[in-house]
Amino acid sequence: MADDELPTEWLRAVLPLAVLSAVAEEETYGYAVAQRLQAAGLGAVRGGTLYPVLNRLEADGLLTSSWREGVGGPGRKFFAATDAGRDHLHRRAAAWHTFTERAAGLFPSPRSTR
Amino acid sequence: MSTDPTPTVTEYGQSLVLHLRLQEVPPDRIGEIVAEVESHVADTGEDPVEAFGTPREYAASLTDEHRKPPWWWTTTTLVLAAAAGWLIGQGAFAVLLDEPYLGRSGWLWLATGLVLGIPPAYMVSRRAGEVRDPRTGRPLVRTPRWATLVFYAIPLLIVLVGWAAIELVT
Repeated sequence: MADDELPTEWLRAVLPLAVLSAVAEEETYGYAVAQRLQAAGLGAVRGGTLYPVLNRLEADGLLTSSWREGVGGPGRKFFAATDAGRDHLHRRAAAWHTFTERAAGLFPSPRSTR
Repeated sequence: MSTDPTPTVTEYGQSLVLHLRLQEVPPDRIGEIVAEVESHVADTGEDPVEAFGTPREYAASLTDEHRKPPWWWTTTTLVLAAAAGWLIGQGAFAVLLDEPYLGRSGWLWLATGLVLGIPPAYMVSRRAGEVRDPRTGRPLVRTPRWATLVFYAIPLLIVLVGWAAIELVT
């Protein structure tokens, strides 16, 4: 990415949907979600930011969670998307694409001198 | 990455339990939140303060999820608890001295105090419930067995000492 310094408010806005998307790909746990977001170029998401988002999504019925014993390690809390979560993700993702396209239409292109 | 199969609660976890208690978060949620932190730092090897902030900051950041009860609720609970304590004390004295209090039997005041004490006792027992680790089902913080005994023994002792003092004087 050319500009790694993305405004934090952008990340805050997109984080719930990005987290839901990562969990919808496969049943997973907090640290793996953080790694997935970092690999996608969203930067390092702190645990103190990530878990409240996961818990809010669960409270909204978009995720479920269960504790499982790790292989030779302490238990991990696994999250899975519910049907309502997948439905929400598809609707919000479509709306997000529309929104970003509209916003991009207003902005000067990277090569523009405007 | 840690490979310890038995999760132990760190100093950070203990402190987080305390700060979440102060935010009046229900005990089952405290267990979940602390286990998430412990599990995450075991996976990442990060310092919990760097990953989550200090226990005070992290507990305060969760106020969106767990709002403290409004001030009037806390005030009502405190007033009911104080009234219950006063009536139980006066009722117990009246019963022990075999004299009415404000023209009524001590048993009546005692019973009224106990009934008034039900809502605050329920609130306290809900908040003071044991915090368990969802990974193991074991308590996260050990409460000494004598703590409950002391909680009930002190008011009883005050009434008995008062009664004994009055009996000695008269």
